[in-house]
Amino acid sequence: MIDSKSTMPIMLITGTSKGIGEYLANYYLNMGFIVVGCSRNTCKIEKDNYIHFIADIANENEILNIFRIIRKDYKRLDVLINNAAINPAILNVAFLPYETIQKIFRVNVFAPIMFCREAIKLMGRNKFGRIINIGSMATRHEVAGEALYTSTKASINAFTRVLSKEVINSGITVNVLAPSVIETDLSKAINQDALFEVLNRNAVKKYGDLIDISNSIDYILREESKSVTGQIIYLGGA
Amino acid sequence: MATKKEIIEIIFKSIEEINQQNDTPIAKDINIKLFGKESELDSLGLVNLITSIEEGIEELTGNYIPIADERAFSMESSPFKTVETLAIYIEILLND
Repeated sequence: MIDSKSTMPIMLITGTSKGIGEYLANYYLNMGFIVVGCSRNTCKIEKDNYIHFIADIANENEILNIFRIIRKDYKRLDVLINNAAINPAILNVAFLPYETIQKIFRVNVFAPIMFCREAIKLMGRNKFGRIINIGSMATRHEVAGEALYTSTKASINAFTRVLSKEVINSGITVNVLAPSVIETDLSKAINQDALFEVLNRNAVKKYGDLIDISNSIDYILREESKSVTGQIIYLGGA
Repeated sequence: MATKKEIIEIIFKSIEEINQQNDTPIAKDINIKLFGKESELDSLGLVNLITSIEEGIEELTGNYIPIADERAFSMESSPFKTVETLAIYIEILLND
């Protein structure tokens, strides 16, 4: 996995205090990665090769600080997983407060773009990099009441496809991985009837497993997957 | 704080660094074109150069200053045009 020249690959994951981010951090720590994680809160992971930042990723300076440390301590970055996202309560567009619109775009769109911007600078120098932006099946199903969340994820899909063309000559691939519904705090906060109604539109009509996500990421990370880029990979057959 | 001479030295050091990765090296000349049609660098080469310069400036001053900021792209004449214009722009950033 990864370039054979890198004995301890460096991976940055956003949103590692719980759910998919926490799972991926533990999974890749066990695979021999140095994992740099961040979240708004403290993190339960206590392993030698894990470095945690308490950061508000809606704030550019806090993102720059994470990269400043990575640059200083490791001088490179092999993998970025943009996982952190928020999904405020389902609301009809007619009732969306402007502050909510700004907040979700800051975390779900502006922050991943900033993380990508800084990551490609580090990855480009080693002519290798893998960026995985976590997407959502919401962009496939376009559910009423989810306009805001869906539009942020659709934005990341478009951003990913364009970025992939800009960085491929630097050995960097950029993909979106859109999991099916995984039981996390984020999914529990959603109306369960609506959730299952949406899940029923998938080929696989049940909750996804976390291993589905790490399995797909393992494939993207392989050296041989160098031409797998600009893809939106939907799990569960969305 | 850094002098224009120190900034140019950092830029030349960064050019040396990216020349090691590129098949067609660019000259360490203050008039060399970095941006635009006559540029010796492609867009990724420019990204790598700017990144390396930002690191050099951080090492020298202790401060990380993003060079490709909003002001740089809104200026009538691009500060990335040549090594000299870039050095002048970085000097302005450092004096802000």
